[in-house]
Amino acid sequence: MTPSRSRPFSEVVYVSIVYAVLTGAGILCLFPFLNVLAKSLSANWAIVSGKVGLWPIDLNLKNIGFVIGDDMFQRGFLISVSLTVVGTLASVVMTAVSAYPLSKKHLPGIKFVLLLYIFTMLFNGGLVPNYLLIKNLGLMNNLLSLVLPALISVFNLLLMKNYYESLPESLEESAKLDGASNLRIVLRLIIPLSAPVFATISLFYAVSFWSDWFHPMLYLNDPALKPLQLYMRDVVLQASDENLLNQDNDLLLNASPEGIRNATIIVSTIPILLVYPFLQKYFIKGILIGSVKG
Amino acid sequence: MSKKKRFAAAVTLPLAISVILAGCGSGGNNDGGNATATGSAPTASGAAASPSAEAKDKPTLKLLRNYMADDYNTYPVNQFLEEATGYKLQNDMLPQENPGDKLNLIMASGSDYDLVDAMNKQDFFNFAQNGALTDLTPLIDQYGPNIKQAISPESFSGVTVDGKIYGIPTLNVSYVRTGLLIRTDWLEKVGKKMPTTLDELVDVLKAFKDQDPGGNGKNNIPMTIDAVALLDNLTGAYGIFGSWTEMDGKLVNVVNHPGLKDYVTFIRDLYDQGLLDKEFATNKSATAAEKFTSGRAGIYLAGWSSIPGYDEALQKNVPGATYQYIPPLKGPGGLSGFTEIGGFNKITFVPKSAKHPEDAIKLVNAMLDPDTFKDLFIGKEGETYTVENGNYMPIAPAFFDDRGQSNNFVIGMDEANFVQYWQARLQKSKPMFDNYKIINSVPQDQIHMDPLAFAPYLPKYSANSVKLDTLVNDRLIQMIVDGVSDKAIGDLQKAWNDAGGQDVEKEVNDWYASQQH
Repeated sequence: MTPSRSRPFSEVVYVSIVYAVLTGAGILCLFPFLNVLAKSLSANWAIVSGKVGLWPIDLNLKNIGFVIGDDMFQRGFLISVSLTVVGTLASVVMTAVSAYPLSKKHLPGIKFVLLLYIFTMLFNGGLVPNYLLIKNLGLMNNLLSLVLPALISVFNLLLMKNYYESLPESLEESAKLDGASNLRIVLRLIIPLSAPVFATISLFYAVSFWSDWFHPMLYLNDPALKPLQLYMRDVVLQASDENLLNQDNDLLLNASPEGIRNATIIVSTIPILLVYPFLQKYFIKGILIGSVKG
Repeated sequence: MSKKKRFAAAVTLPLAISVILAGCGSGGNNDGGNATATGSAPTASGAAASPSAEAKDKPTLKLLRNYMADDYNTYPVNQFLEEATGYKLQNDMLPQENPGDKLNLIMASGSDYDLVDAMNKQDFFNFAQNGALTDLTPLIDQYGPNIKQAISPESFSGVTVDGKIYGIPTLNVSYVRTGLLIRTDWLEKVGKKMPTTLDELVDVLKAFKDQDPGGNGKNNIPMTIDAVALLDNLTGAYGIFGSWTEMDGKLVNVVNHPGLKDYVTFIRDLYDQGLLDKEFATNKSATAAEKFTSGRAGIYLAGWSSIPGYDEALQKNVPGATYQYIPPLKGPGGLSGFTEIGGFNKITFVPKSAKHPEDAIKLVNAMLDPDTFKDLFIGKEGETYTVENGNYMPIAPAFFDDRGQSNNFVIGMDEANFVQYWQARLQKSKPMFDNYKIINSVPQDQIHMDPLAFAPYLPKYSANSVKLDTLVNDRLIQMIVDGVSDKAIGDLQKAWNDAGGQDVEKEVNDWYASQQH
């Protein structure tokens, strides 16, 4: 079972080539990010004249400082963090309480209920009906419009349902024999056992809430409610080639310098980047959850 | 492990609950409560400044605004407007990307906005024709003496549909936008004068190429541009001014312009002789700017609004570098000049579903009071600007902090004065102001206004002009790189006609002919 000490030479060569190529590809993916990072730490004149590659020129923290000190940024950041935290917690709870009963196949009519969920995954009303729904619910210009419709993602629900189905049934049976009520089984047995799936699903939800740009763009008109992604997209777009050609010059006179745009990207990306390393093992597990069946 | 989790739960739970509560709080009341955090400050001061009785009959007006980088509701101009007009204003904002799509969605679902900015003529005319807008003619007659005073009948004619005024037009400042920046220190080094004709320009470019005044070796580029084929100033030397040029009372597109072949041949020769950047066809605007600001290029086609950034970069890279726009160059036929752009910046309308149409017009009227307008646009003398020799000079940073974005707040311009006020913001950077003056204070006969700047909505033109311009640009660049021939020009004309150019030409000329009388 354990690998033997002496591998054949050809395999060593093969493996080292694979490692080299994959490492190279990984590093290649880092370059654009490093370039943006370097620009965010450079002086504007160096960026305009194309001097900044992977290392900052005329290193300073002014751009980063400006972004962090900006009102709109702070507010957007706070809104995005709150949305992500609240949205993720609420979504995980809602998904869990829906997935658990759906995993009990002996319940009457449960297949039909599951079908209803899956139906929404395949068909939906489309953009305008959704917009009208949100509007008539009085949720325009309201952060709840971003959370409520996204509470249950059917894909995540199915992942969780599969996970519950993979738990051995005998576990619950033995708890019942010991006299545990249904509620007690859920609280004492199922929830502690669900930690990995909760972590995975939380990550999925957190990433989708954090990176949501389209729904805020649609439902929020009050500039004070802009989440970070909306703010960032606006800042980055200010200097798109299209804008440079067509926009009126007043807009260009007020556009943020290149360094500040790059700093905005960096400061907005780092929080969600920090989440990944801690949850990565669950993330990998999560991808496998659907496939492994007990 | 479990301790850590419990700690995390203990931290996140109260935070989550408090956020949920906050979210519900602001969602519960729809009127003005949306911006609890932002609304409170202006409200307090607004109430203090205006007589309380007056503030009571004046409703809160809801406005839908164009994108700007700052928050309308907390920007100083908003507070000023609330105090000056007595109305409380709640500004919502369209996104920067595809604002028209969002606007259509909002209008289609019935909005309660009192005033809405449309960036796009086409959207405005569609709404007007579909009966979605309030007819402003009687309201302006009754409540809008300042509006009538400030806005010219010509401007109103651009927002009139079937004899009814459906919008308040806000003009752009008309100006020449781009020109050729030349390194004047390079000129001195090669011992040449500022070129005044195309021949002299070629002479200068050859000197730039041969003598390498920047000491760049093989990186030396006499002239760089990005992938744009029609270059302001150079087109003027062949009598071409923008996409549409007036000739003998008719509008002629650049593809059918008699000077086109000579013009493209001239640029082609520059390219052939190595005087024009070999890579120009793949240059992005940032790439070309890098070449100029790092001191490698002698001439660069640039818009004046970019000059502040370029100036700083160039001075850092090449201390002591000097540059300026080249004045109009004379072509072989003695022609010269620049293309001037302008027209409507936006059109502000009152949707039919608006709750306070009369108050909306009263607000616009109050904003167009000459003194209020001036204060709104550039602030107070001594606080945000000073007047020197008749020029409005900004006081930094107050001017740029308090009034830098004021153009977004404007609804209708005090058309007699706004250009003069507006120039204050050019003083943000002296090189920008000076260069703006060089290309904008040339004799009137050398400035050619885009003849379609003030045109009403022309459906075929609106639908096709971007596509057609791209087609023309791509084909011309191909000719500059591969060579010019009568066949290539003929192919371009045919492709342009087939892509809808012929229909557009007819539509544009029908409108133009109707304007002559």
